[in-house]
Amino acid sequence: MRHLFVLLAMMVLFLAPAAAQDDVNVVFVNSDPVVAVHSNFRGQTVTLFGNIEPGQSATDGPYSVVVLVQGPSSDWVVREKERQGGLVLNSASAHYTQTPSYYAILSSSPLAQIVSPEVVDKQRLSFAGLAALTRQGDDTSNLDSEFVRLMRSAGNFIEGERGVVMHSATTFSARVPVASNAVNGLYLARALIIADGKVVGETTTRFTVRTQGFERYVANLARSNPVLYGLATILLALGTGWLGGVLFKR
Amino acid sequence: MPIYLPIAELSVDVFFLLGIGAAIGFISGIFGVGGGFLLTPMLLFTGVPAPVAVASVTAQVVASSTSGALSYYRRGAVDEKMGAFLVLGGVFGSALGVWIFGILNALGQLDLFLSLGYLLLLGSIGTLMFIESLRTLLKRNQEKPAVRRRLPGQIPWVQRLPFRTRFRKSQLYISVLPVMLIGFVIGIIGALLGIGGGFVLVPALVYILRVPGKVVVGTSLLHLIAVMAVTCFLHALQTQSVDTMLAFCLMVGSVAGAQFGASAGQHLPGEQLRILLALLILAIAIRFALGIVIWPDDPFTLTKLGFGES
Repeated sequence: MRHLFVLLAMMVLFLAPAAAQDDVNVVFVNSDPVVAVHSNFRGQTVTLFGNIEPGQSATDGPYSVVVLVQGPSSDWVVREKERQGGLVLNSASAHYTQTPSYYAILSSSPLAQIVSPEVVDKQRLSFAGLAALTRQGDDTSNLDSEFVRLMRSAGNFIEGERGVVMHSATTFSARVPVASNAVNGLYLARALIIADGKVVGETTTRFTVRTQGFERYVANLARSNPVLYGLATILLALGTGWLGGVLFKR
Repeated sequence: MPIYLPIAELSVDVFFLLGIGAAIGFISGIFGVGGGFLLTPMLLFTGVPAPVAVASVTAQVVASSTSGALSYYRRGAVDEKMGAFLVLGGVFGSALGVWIFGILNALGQLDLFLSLGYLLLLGSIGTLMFIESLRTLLKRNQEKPAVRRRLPGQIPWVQRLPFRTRFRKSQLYISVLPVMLIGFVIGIIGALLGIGGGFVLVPALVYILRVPGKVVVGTSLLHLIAVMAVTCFLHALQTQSVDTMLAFCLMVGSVAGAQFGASAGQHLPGEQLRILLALLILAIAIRFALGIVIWPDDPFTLTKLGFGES
């Protein structure tokens, strides 16, 4: 664990100079490179730590930090219910393809106070922008706000106006909540260092969410080998029924 | 103790699942019904996604039918030939049902369809059961001699159909067409609604085909095992919504519950219990009716599209 931590820190340090246009360097590491989802998993918090290292041409600050965390993408559909002939049924629907199943926007101050609307658009700092970007077709844009609302209440879209804590002028940390229904896969965290309303530094780190144990195996088998999965389920059912009949012989 | 259901993507208390499995197994043990028609609605009300509830209950029906079918088989109370023709029809019905299921799911009308289907099915069966057992109770209270109902003779159009064959254990010489048709229809209903359909199949075999009482339950259980196993397999292939963890918890609960129900059923007053079951069925039907008539708190729903959906 500790070794991995150091290794990650070194990797980030090593990679950081590649972003040459950045005015400041950022070190950005996380507490849990692998988040294991167990059967009794009720959610966990991944803590990301960062340190801003002002370069030669550095803007003096004060710095603000925005942390974006993006999970694996999925396809979604929002449906609107309507009353027709006395019955409540689904009518209009909007499809969203390749939308992150997890998207957290955490900042050290309310976004409106630290960046301009142009930066919000460019860096995808709004859920509405994300919805508009991934929606299929233009005639269902009226459902965007409902999509965002439902994704928020499902814990898939998370916004934290004080989600990033500045420990000093140059060090910060962000606590990223991972819910129990988190999708397996790679989560990418991006830290944007902001000074005078402009992005002056940027770096990324990543962590993996994995459901572990028997549940993970079952879910993977159901997707990768449905024939075997189906047969195994039937055999399990026959076996359980047979065993029940033998144990409690009528 | 919460358990994570990997396909439903939901954490549920394992004792809750064992509990509803046992409760419904107990009820099915008392009355000799499959229990799928109670179990699927319970899962839907719990918040299990409709495709997962329907597909997983098929596996549970296989388990709960197996222990019963074995004891009938040992007594020779299974007409294997008739079972084979029923299953042949049932497999085609199941395939059609799973196909329609996929289309309804993609259209977003699966929940409405399930609500309407269960409302119709449970509403009519609950009403019939309630009237029937109320009548029996009243008769008994009046101490009238029970009138023995005789089955009328063979239904003429069933007799005129071609492809007649001899079903020795059922002592019938009838066409295979109505046998396969009954299997086909029950197969469709089973795949769509997540029920075995035994409570529809048994009356159909008795009243339409005149299958004698001593083989009818065993033969219908044989049909349930085979057709539900095929349905489970097809759901695993097409909708990939069979949750084995969920099904296993329900199986264990219901197989155990059914044994206690069967022995308890011999000591409990049958007709009073039957009225209670009828009321329970009607209550579930009303719950479905409310679900499709009452305007929901949130008219918008969000669904993550899984494999094979668009």
